[in-house]
Amino acid sequence: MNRRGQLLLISGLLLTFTILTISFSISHSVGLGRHHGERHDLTPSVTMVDQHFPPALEAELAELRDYTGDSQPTIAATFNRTAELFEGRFAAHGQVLTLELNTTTNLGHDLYNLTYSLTVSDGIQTVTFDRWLVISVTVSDPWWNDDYHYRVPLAVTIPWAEQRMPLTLPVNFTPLLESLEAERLESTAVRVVAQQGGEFTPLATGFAPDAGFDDRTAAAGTLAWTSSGDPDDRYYCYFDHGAHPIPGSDLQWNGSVVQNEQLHWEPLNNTLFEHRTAGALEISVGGYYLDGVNGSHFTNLSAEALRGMVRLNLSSPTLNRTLTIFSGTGLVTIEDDHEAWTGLGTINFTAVKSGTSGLRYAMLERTGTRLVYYGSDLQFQLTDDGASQTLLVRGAEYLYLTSKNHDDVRKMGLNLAGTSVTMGSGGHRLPT
Amino acid sequence: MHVLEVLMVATLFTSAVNVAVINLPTSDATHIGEEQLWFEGMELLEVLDRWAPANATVAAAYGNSTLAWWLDTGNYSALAAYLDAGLPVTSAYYLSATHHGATEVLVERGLPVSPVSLAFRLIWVAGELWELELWLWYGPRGVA
Repeated sequence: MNRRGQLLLISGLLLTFTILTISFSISHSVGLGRHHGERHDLTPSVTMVDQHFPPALEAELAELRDYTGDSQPTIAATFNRTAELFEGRFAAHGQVLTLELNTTTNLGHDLYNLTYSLTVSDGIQTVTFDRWLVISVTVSDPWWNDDYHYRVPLAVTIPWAEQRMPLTLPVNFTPLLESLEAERLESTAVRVVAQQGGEFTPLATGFAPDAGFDDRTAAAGTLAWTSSGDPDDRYYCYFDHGAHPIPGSDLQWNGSVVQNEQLHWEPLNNTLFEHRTAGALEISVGGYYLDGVNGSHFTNLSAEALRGMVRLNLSSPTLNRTLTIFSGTGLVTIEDDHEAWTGLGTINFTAVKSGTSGLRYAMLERTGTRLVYYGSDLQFQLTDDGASQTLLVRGAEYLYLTSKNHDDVRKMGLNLAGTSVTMGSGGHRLPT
Repeated sequence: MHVLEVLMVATLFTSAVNVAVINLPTSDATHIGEEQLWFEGMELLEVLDRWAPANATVAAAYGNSTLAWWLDTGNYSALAAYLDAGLPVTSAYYLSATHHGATEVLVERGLPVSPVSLAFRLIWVAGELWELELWLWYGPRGVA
């Protein structure tokens, strides 16, 4: 190729580059021009979701409480259902909204912390934010009995939740009557029910009205019941304005003592104990139940009576009595971590109260021919002078004794520290 | 020299393809005016939604939203006055709300005579979701 041809080729190449540059410029200008003057601000859309999605979700979750179907919707499912409601409306208006639940953390009780991501796009601009929300979620609890029109949750913490334990709680229904628009409280229509999903366990319950009780303006008293023994149970106190037949398993209130075949409760002394030897033991003040105040002695206990439980009031400073709880022949052992005693024949107890306040429990349980006592925060001292043995109990106001191998009684007599019973802040009306 | 020739042909081909794939707008209109109207509608609804009522009890009941308060109490005249003052005088509009499966026109200020912009806002009011749609266009504004 000659020199002229070379120049022509180079010129053509430069012209081609120029065309390419111009074509890119045109392409870029068209791209700019298509969105020239457009404004892409997603703030209104983001604030819309931020302001109204949380209350909508909260309302949807609130419906879980009264859900009566077979399959309880999860928090995640409820979140997704609410999110789809918003996402669908955004899509109808040409915007893309994506709400995605990331984590659900239970903060205790019914409080949950939800974290989720929020993405909004108008096709040109896309923004994503992380959000968190603390929300109260009460799961569905079907109603136990439609005869009872009101209920209130009870928060129960028990050290030995797998054991049935007697529990008491001072309660005042008056604020609940107002908030639930209940006309009055029928004091005999109070029941504590253990609940797990759709399974109900009505519990032996007693309600002792306070002095000055008024079924409208001063509906206060003390509630007594036994726990169900299932750690997974939730507890509700159901109550009503009308009288209902009291189940035989419930406690009867005779004006001074609440009792049935399993429980004996003296509200004035805040004393409740339970025995499980129905048939062998009938609760009555005499024979089985002895109190230092009335000067009774344990020695009138028969062999049959030993199947039950007796209580000795140690609050009297002059208390110094001898108790015979076993008079037959056989081996009797008293033991704890520090000392053990074995002997035959009669065991004599001398109980001495030292200056303490509050209730303390000590338990003596006879397992066959073995006698075991419990009392981690009590002082026990055994003496053996060859003729009799003496057990000193200090720091106790009451000494509970039982001679039957009975876990329910034994657990009740153990240290009750850590037991907490409170009434929930909100009640419910029977769903219509 | 064949290298230069090949380079030139490739460049020409690239240029031709680049020009061919340019997607030109179907018209020279940029819809700026309509978009501006749409944004004004969106922002007007947003501002009213985030404007807390002066009464603390009312504010707490309606999540600090004057818009929710007016919707729940049916105060559509206040809503109309607010939109009348906030939108350009050269624009007309009507406002509809869909909730509980039904749609109703809350405020009507004329009939569309030009391309319509549709602003919207979702609002949780008294236990249900309201979908507000604000139809906007340039044209004579009707009277209430």
